[in-house]
This record gives sequence, C-alpha cells and structure tokens, in this order.
Amino acid sequence: MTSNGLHLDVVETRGPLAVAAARGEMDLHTVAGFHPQAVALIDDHPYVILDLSGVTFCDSSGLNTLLRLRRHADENGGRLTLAAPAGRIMRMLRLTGADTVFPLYASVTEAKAAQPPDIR
Amino acid sequence: MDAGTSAGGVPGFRRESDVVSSGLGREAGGWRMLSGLLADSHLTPVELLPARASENAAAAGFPRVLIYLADLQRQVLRLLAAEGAGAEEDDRQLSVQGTVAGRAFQHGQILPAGPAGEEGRDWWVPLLDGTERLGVLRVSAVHDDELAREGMERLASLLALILHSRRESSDFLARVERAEPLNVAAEMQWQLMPPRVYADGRVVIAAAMEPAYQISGDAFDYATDGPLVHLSVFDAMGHDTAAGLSANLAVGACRNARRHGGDLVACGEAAEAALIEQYGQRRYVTGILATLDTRDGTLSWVNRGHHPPVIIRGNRWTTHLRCPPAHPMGTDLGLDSHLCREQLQPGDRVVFYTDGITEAGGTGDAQFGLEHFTDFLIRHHADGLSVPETLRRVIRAVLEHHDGRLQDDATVLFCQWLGPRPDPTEEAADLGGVPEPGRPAPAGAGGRTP
Repeated sequence: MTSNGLHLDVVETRGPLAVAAARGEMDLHTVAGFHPQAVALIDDHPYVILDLSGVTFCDSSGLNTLLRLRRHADENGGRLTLAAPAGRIMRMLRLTGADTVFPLYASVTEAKAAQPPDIR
Repeated sequence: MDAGTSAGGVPGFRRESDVVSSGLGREAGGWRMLSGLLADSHLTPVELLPARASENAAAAGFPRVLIYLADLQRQVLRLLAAEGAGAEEDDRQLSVQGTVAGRAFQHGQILPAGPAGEEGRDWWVPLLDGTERLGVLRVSAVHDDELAREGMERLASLLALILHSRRESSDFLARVERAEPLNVAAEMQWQLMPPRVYADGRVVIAAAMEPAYQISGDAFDYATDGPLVHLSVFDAMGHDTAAGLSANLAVGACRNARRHGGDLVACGEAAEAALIEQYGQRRYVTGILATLDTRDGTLSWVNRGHHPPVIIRGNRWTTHLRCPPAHPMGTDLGLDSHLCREQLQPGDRVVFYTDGITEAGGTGDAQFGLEHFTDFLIRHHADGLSVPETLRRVIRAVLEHHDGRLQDDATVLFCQWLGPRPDPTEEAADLGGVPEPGRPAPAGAGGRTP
C-alpha cells in the first residue's frame, strides 16, 4: 500500500492485531492518501502497532492524522500503539504532550509484548 | 492664540512667508499646523491626507509633505498617492535596505533627504504610531534647526495617529501597505493581530511574522490590562485557509475568555471548546498563553502543546522555560493545563516563537536553529538597535536562510520587562525606536510646547 511519499506496509496480521510500518514523510499532502488506508486497516484489525522508525518528517497534519487514527481505534474497541518513533516525530509527540496519550514503545517487539494477552 | 488673522483669507491657513520671521512666529505656525490638521482630520479621506498635511504644515515652514508607508514585510516604503499622481515612478517605492529613507525607518532618526538648497532642505522623518513603525515622511523644511526638527517630529506623530484611525476603513491604505498579493489567511490575520510594536515604561513588545503575505495558521496576540501584560502565540495545524480560520477562532475565544475575567487556563479551554464546536476534533491549534505581571516581573504561562518560550538575560544567558504541556487546543486529549511561573529580572527578554523560526526547510540540516536565532537577537541587541528593528532583521535573516521561501509560518513575539513603572523612560524610547525629539522630557525640565 502506498500513497504519495508516505507508505503503509502491513508487516503482520493476526486476528484483531496488525503490525504495520509507515515509511516516508508525514505531512499535509502525504496524509491524504495514508489516512484512509490506515482507517481500513483498523477496521479489519482494531489493535494496530504502527512502526514509525521509517518516518523521516512529520508536521502538524501528520500528528493530527495519528490522533485521528487513535480515536478511530478507540471507537472500534481497539488501540493504536506507536513503536520506534524517530527523532523528529518523537520531538513532536513530546512537545504536544501526545507522548503521554499514545501507548509508545521503543520497538515493535516491546509493543507486541505490551498488547493484552488475548490479542498477542 | 492666533496672531495672524490679519493675513486675511481662510482662517487657520497662512502663507509660510508670514511666519518665518521670528521664533515666536514659528511657534505659532507650528501650533497652527497641528490644530489645522486636527480640524481637517475629521472629514478628510486618507487619499487627501498628504495634500492637507502640506497645506497645514506650510504654516510651520514645511511646504511639502509626502507620506511613505512600510509594506507588511517591512522591506519597502511605498508612497501614499493615487496611481500616476505626484512623484516620479522611481520615487513611489523605496527599499528599506540601502536607502537614506530606509535608514531613517530602521534607526528612528530624522535624516536629510538631499543637500540644502536656497529654499531649504528635504528630510526623512520616521512615522510612528505609538512605537509601531508605519513608515516615513518626506518633509520639505524651510529651516534647518532644532525647532524645525521638533516641528517635523510632531507633524509625523499627528499624521501617524490620523493614518492609524483610517486603517480599518480604507482599502486604499491596505493596498499601499502591500507590495505583493495576500492570501486569504494573511488578509484575516493582519486584521486580527495587534500592532507589531508596543512600548511603555514597563515593557517593550515586538512581533514579526513571515511569510507576511502568505500566512497559514500562525497568530500572535498581546494586550495590556492595568499592570498585566497578556502575551500569546498560536500555531494552527495545516497550511490552508482553514488553518487561518482556526487561528482566528483560537485568538477570538481566548480574548473573549480573558476579557470576561478568565485566567490563562480558562483561555486555553475556551479556545479548545470553540475549536471542537466548529471542527469536531479535526483541527487543532498549539500555543503559549502567558501573562506578565509588570509590578514584580512574574511571568505566568500555560503550554498548549507548543515550543516553550526562551528567556534571554543580559547578553549571554538564555534558558528554555519548562512547563508540562497540556494537549493542543481542539484535540480533547484530556491532559491537565499547568499554570507555570517564572520570576523575571528587570531587562529580561522573553521570546515566544513558532515552528518556522527553527524548523522551516524540512529535514533538519538546513535549520536556522533556535541557537542561531537567539544569538542573532543578542548580537543586535548589543549593537543598540531598537527591538522592532532587531526583529525585522532576524526575521529577514530567517527568510534569507531559506532562500525567501518558508515551508511554515515563522513568528516571533518578543517582550522585554523593564520594570514596574508605566511612565515613559529613555530606556523604553531607545528600545522602542522613538526618535530623539519625541523623547520624554527629563523630570522637572519645562518643555517648549506652546
């Protein structure tokens, strides 16, 4: 799955859980294509671990997309977990306080280990 | 009061030759210039202001007055005159950089506009509304002495007030102030925000924003309220007109809460509620909401998911304030707002800024950088430049650093706390860029005001 400049690769799915990796730049232009793909993924697998290690840029529209996806997962009885955010996106999460509202882990492995037992 | 009714003809108007003979006559001429302009100001459309100014100022020995207004970006000075009327095409727009007119504007000084001739000399005179730099006047003056300089400065002060009073109702003025087309958000934001400079004995406030003609979601706000000075910056997500709308909404809601007695936390909550009501949770605005108590230098502030302000003390020491962020306004993430406090020392400068100042240009290598930015502020402060001129230069440097094209709005709001007393001081005049003759008279020194 790709959108212009921002790609969503589904790495693994198991029941309600999906592990996906975002790659590229997350901004006003790229999130337009990315957002519906991620929504569709959450519809099928409400527990999503999003690997952000490949996101090289994130602006306010990027953060807004993550917040919207978080809400979408909550509304579907699931949870959006962020894994391995790179420097730039991590700074943005800290600055806005969003680092305290997302489940946030340094790696996908840790994020998986932290899922509810019946999901893992 | 008026010794010159014998001149006959129109009351309040005298030929310049009637009043040049004695110092006393010139004082009376100066008085008549100001009273004539005040009387005319009620019913004069702004297009006719240069003509009315010239007619009235002739009584004080200034037979010709031209008005130049700085553009929104503060890079050019543009003649206030109808298309094709008045000056040569070359003289309609002057660069702030590298011209004498521009130097008068930058340094707040009255400077000669040409060599002295038989009929006197032309001068560039800074045009200040309070401490907001509107532009410059070009004044032809018969005399070349202290009295003439005082007269020009008074003329400029009055014209600045009249120009300001017409600002909200004149498209002509709005066009003179733009050297390029504005986008819709910029049209809204410049209408929304207070003047870019304010100073009194307690504080000097200055702000700058680029790209001035193509704003997306940034806004700054400040207001005095007795001993309190409210200061805030906002950065709405996105780069579209809706970003401009969200910023407007946040500023409006915050002002509304403040003016009804709400504290900083309530301001942020009001903005959050207004944004959610309009946009669900699809749009957000980050910001810093602060209040400086000028009586004791306490800075209180709330962080709504934004870069914390920086304090510059003396010419070396800087610190980034810390305050746990509450969520960006409009996101409803449920994080508590903390009211944080910082004790300032007299002379401390608090700098609020948005992303574009430090992060424009994308991936990070080409950043102007916060350190570079504060160094720049400190260096020009040490050079003795006024605060508005320092900010004009720093924002220009940010712009040049990115080859004139910013990816994101770059806004800086600067506030220097001077002390508790509101009376005008030499320090406030220096920092605010007030020209010499407009300086407050030392206590006890009788002015020469008629």
